[in-house]
Amino acid sequence: MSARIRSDQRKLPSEMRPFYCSSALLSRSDGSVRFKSGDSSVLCSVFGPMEVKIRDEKLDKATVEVVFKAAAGNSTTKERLYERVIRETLEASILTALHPRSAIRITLQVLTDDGGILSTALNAATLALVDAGIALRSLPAGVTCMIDQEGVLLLDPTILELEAARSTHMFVFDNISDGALSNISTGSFSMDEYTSCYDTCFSAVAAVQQLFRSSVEGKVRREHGPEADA
Amino acid sequence: MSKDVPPSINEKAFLLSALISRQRLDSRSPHDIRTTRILLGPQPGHAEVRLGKTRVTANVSCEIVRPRANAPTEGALLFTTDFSPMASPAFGDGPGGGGGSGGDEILIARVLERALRGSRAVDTEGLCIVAGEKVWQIKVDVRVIDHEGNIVDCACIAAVAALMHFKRPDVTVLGEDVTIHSTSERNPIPLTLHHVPICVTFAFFNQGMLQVVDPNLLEEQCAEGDMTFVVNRHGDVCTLSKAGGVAVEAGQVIHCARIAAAKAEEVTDMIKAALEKAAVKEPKVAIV
Amino acid sequence: MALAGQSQPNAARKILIPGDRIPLVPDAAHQSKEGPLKVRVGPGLQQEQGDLVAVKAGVLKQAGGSKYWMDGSQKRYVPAASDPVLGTVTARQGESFRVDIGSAHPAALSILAFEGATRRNRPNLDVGSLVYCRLSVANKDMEPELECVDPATGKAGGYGELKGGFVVKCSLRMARGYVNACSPWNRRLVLITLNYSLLNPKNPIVTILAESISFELAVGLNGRVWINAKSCAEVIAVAKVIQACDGAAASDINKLINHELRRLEDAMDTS
Repeated sequence: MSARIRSDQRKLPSEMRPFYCSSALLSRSDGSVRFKSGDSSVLCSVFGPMEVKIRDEKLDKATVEVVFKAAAGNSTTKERLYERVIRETLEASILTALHPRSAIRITLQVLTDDGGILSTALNAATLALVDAGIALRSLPAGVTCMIDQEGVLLLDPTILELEAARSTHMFVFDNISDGALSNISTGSFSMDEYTSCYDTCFSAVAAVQQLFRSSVEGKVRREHGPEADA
Repeated sequence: MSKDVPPSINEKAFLLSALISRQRLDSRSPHDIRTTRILLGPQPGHAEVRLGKTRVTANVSCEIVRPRANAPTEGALLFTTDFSPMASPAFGDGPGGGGGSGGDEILIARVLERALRGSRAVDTEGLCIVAGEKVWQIKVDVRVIDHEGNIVDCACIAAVAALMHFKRPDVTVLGEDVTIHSTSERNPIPLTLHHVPICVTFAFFNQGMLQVVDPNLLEEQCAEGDMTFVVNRHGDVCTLSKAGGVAVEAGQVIHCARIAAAKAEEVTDMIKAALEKAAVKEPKVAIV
Repeated sequence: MALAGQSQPNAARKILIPGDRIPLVPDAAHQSKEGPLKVRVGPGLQQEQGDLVAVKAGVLKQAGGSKYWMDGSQKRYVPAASDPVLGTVTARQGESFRVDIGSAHPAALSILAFEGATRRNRPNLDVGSLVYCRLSVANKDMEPELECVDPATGKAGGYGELKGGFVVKCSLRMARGYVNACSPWNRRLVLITLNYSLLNPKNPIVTILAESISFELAVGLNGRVWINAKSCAEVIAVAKVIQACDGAAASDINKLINHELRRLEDAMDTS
């Protein structure tokens, strides 16, 4: 296999970039997380349950608001689409019925975009919700992959690689079920290609879930001291 | 949207009595600014500044545009100030909203614009490529991401640091042809700054008799008035902004200006130190 | 009864993340005595078929054999009945005051919910007053309601308007640690205005501080702590200790407190 298949230091098409996160950075937010995947980095803040605007009030559950802000410039339809995908994905996991007539506001700020920004943002949002202590049924985690002009499947593509994409796919899986929670696929692709993308992302998401667990455990351990493991 | 609940009577009274005995709640002296952290990079023109717990990012970008007809040799400098809903529950109006637009927020954006554009800190003539045809437009996106008081000073440091850190691509003009060199081809060029304007905000208490530098959120909420100086390290006052609030005597204004000049020098040195630190990390591009 | 975790079997206390299932395995000896398994599910957990499922991150705790809850940390307060809270009056509305307690909805404090209050003898609270009260009604579908009397005795018992002093915010977990290190079913509500002779001996922060400074505390479970002492410097010192210790490792607490006390001594010497 040629070593120059990836645009960065990675050797394999199915290799993810290193990712990490840091939580509770912001002082005003109820929960906040910075999630980095390679050079893509997103800051997420969560407020809630907080006061809701009357026009958005729901009598039986909390209103989930998502604001997605690009690294520079004003919001376009792309940001609106991302807001919707993230809101609808997270709404399925947040136990909104516990907080009727209130709002859970999720704000995502892209710090640097180097591809896979939607899945990075979603992962940041999940961890920020945990940090804020919002009750969740499960933890949704996103992974992005693409198929280039030659039909090669590349996992977690950079922005440079995405320029040569024939199709891109973003899958969200959670830690309690085997099926995908949400999926955005663009471009032209065959059924077989779609299935292999699904399978690749499904196996890759385990690493993201592992990070979720270790980062949350690390935070709890810090707060509780030695009694956490007693 | 939900407003910030104003502090209780007890908090206001305590803050005032502490200030009268020259104590601030975060153990600062009245003329100390909070711990400032300036992070630059990884890309040129990106700065994240923390003033205590207040946090602002600034991002500088550039593009080539046609100059205005009345100033054919002048580049453009644009500012946008965004009050992210993550900064405070009182900001923003949810999805679709372009961030906060309350009175205070507009005021802050204006002061920033006057501080950086009105003081002519950036050499806009140097941004000209072909007179009347092509000039650089420099865009500064300022984003407030955590509001714990005194956004103006923090945003100003972020914007200035980002402008000083920014480098635009080099261009060569041959007749009518303009070539933009990528960063790997030729070293990019930093912007020319004539001077470094720094915002220093004061909050006034006790009928204007007491003043503190760099008010935090509680001090800001309890203050009877505030005043922002834009000064540089040479002691030039570029802007003085005092929108309402308690009356302040002339002598006190001059006293504040002196303090502001000293603070500006302190802050300028911090930005310089951060730039030097960032320069060490940056990969050097060889010129062929 | 024993508990089987997913990877660590029989771990009565462990760190869970949302989605983790805890199968309840009935202890043979226990079941024969007590009949069917009865489990009380507390905050951060939900019951799903035969299992408990974590919905928040934290440490799984168990008390009295069959009570389970998650001990986690968060900043936003969600009202729970009988919690003591610290609020700010934001408006007067006829028969009640509106009080901000940091939750999603403002709480109502009836003018009759004070010791000895009648329609003629109304409590006089201004907008901006600080009140220490307990939640009498806390239901997700209703506006939270407050009272400034202890329902057991009908006396104020420390609840009511707080004069002077200063308020600091802290995490809910830390506030809970001040009031009581026990389970949410067993909150003692007597620590109204803590005098240093009445301290919770389990709390190292308050105990160590009280050796050097005499002060009053009123701790709201909504993450607000009211502090009063003789001098401003002492109040500031206590406030700074509380903020510095929030989220700090237990091993650092002594160091943080001594640092602040030294600073206070220096300030006293110079003044």
